[in-house]
Amino acid sequence: MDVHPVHHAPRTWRDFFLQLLMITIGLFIALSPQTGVESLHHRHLVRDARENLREEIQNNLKRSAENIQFLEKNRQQVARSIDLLKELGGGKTIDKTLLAWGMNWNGYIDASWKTARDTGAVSYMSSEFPMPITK
Amino acid sequence: MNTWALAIVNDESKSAAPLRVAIDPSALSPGDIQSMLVSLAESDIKLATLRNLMQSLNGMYANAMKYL
Repeated sequence: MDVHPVHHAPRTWRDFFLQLLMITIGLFIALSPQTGVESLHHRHLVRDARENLREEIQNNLKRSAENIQFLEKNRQQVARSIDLLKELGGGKTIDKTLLAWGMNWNGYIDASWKTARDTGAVSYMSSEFPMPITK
Repeated sequence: MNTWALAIVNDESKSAAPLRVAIDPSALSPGDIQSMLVSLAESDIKLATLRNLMQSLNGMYANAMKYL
């Protein structure tokens, strides 16, 4: 933004303050819409980020519930396999098919979180907003 | 969390390597059995840790939902 001074220097204090007032009013008029537009943009950014984050978290909570089931099943398989291996070490014969373990995993999604962080939406949210575990 | 879980999945599959080589469980040496036992025990500990982390994350999600 350019501010052009008047062509002649103020001769009196009245002229000086008049010019200062005019510059101040001019800057105020020029900057107000810009600030307003930016503020509106930030509001939209935060609103969209909240909506996307809410959806993503709900999705992740469903995945988490499934993952906990997968994990518990896997732990049971691991515990059973440990018992079988102990029996095998003790000389007992075991069926190979019973020795099995493995886990399914529905990966958590963090696209909305990354977008909110990268677009700066998170910085416009309240500091009370909990930061997620990203890794 | 995803990285942690996938690392466990990867480690678990490695635990089965001696069995893959021996083909039959009765052909496993005592050393192989011990190695598999230790490996599976480690996996179990990691799974327990992962579960705790998942619960913490769920708590954070619940807090975030209150805010959102």
